[in-house]
Amino acid sequence: MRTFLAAVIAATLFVQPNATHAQAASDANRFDLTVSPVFLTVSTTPGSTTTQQVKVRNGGPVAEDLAVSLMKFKAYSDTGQPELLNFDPTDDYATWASFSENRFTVAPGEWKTLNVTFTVPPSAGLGYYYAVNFTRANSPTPVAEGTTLIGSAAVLILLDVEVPEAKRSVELMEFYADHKLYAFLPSTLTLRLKNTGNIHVAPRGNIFIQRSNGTQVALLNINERLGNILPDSERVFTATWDDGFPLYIPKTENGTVLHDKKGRTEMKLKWDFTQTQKIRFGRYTANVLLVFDDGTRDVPIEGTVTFWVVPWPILLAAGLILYFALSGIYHSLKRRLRKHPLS
Amino acid sequence: MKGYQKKPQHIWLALFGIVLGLGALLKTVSAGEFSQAYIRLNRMAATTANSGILVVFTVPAGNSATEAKVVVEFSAGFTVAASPTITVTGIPAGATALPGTLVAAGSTTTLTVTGVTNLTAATQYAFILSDGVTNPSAGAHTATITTKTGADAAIDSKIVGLRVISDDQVTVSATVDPTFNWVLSGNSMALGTLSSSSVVSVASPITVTATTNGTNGWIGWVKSQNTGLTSASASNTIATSGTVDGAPTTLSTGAEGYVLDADLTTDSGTGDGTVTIAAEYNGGTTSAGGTLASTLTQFASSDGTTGGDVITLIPRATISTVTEAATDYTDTLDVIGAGNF
Repeated sequence: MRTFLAAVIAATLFVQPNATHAQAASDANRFDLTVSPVFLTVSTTPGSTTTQQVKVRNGGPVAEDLAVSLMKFKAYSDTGQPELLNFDPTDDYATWASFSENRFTVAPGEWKTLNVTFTVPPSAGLGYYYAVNFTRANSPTPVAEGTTLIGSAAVLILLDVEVPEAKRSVELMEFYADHKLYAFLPSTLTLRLKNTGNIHVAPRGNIFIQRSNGTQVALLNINERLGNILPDSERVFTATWDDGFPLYIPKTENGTVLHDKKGRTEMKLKWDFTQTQKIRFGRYTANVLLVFDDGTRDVPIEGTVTFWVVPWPILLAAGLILYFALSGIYHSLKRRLRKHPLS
Repeated sequence: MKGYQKKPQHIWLALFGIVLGLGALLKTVSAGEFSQAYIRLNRMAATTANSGILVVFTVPAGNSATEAKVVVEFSAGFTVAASPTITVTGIPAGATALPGTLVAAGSTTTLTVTGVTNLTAATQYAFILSDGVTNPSAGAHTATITTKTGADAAIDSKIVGLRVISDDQVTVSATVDPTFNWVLSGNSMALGTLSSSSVVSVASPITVTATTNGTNGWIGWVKSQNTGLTSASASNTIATSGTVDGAPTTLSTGAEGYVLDADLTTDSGTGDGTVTIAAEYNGGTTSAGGTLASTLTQFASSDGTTGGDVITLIPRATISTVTEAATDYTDTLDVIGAGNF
């Protein structure tokens, strides 16, 4: 018996190092980079040089040998999101940027600061859009019978070379609510803006929601995060009016938002009886007022949309309760009169 | 005998001296002085108005007079408003609220609190001036706290020191950098042996985790170096199926095909972002996925901050009955992430 137990213990001791080695190998393959800032907005003038700093942190368990490269981006559809592209041979602005180091090693948990220098020729003007890309300097060995992944983290840079010809112009293409009639809030209001100028711009402002009698009931912020719209592209901004009772909220489980099979967020009705004064009912008007800086002054953008909020489930329930109550009273009186008719 | 007679005298003299000395050392409490008193300014900066001066004093033991008012005389330079506000809300634990229907009145540097009812000996009392007192210039100052009878006779008092300085506030500043974190759980996924009778998916897919405090969210792109699974030994490629058209492609058994499915594993509830899987890569079934391009194509994004959104990338492939046999079919995907502008 003792011999058997000793054999089991010995076998366990031999197995453990292999398990540890497998875990270490797995961790070593993990790609974990943090970059800062998230994006940069840089202004300069033709014929000048400007240097910016970008930082990268290795969150992995082993030292990372990293290489930095440059790509460009443009607007992707009307999402306001960038589309990363390689430079074309005709993109001379690809040569304007240089790095303090093109390849370096970052120890686990450490930050590395990199200088990115833009040397802008006198002939430059308006906007140029870069992505500074951090990736492993050595490509992994392709796996047989499978797919190999190469990870990269990028910092987007919007370079504005200021010239008198810069034109900042934004148009409101669409402003609408996701429904015309709501039972309960939230109401999601959407604006589609188009940059009709030749340089990126960040409009911002507010949506004022009023009752039909003109009383303002809500103030929502639009693009307080100063998202940019690239030239000749559109971007959609949304704001949600969710100050009501009761209120639809996303379903969560263990801190994770739940989605249905179609990928839509699952919602549930929240009844916070401390908010009963916020029952919404009637016709509401949402007025949007945005401004953007055209280089000399703030230019306003305005729009209006109306919608109704009719909490019909509450009205229906109240109506049913009233009906049954009145019905009960009626039948009770009727029985009494039969027993004791009025002489 | 002479020496014996002198010793008792010396002893008594010594004892008397000891008693006198002890008496001098002991903290004698006069019936006319608080055993303890202090004033806490809520602002010590010069020429600054206070909004909560705390006055505390302890009535000495043996006090037998009947108090009717408390007077605080600040040294020159202080300004006391005509009608300061007095309260006993917020006094320190252990102190007794100054009793009575308190009314405060000010005149130049003097505060008078009337309506005080008789105080108890050996009891600590407190009250707060919510406003009405402005500090003088910087320096050492004093205030005298006095309890008085209704006939204005002083009962107990004490002078307390006050310090006024040029600046009593320390600015604390901090910076939070905007950051974007991109994690791939591994760098290789084995498909194993492909089949002409079923769609094979990676058994151990890799996850991509995005975390950012960037308020405009993040985007993830993917690019295929081979746009297919390429075998160098067989000189053959199992090409990616379909086109990048905003809709996933369903693989058919018995026909070569290769796609990438992106599944939303976690839409983090921390942060205000909502994840969207690009329609092209939102497979929906175990046979579907998006076409892999040689240019970067968006596979997922979020519109706000997040504490860790997780996307699972699942390559799928199938072959025909005449696909060249080899053990080195491979592809390399570039998976790039960035915070949105």
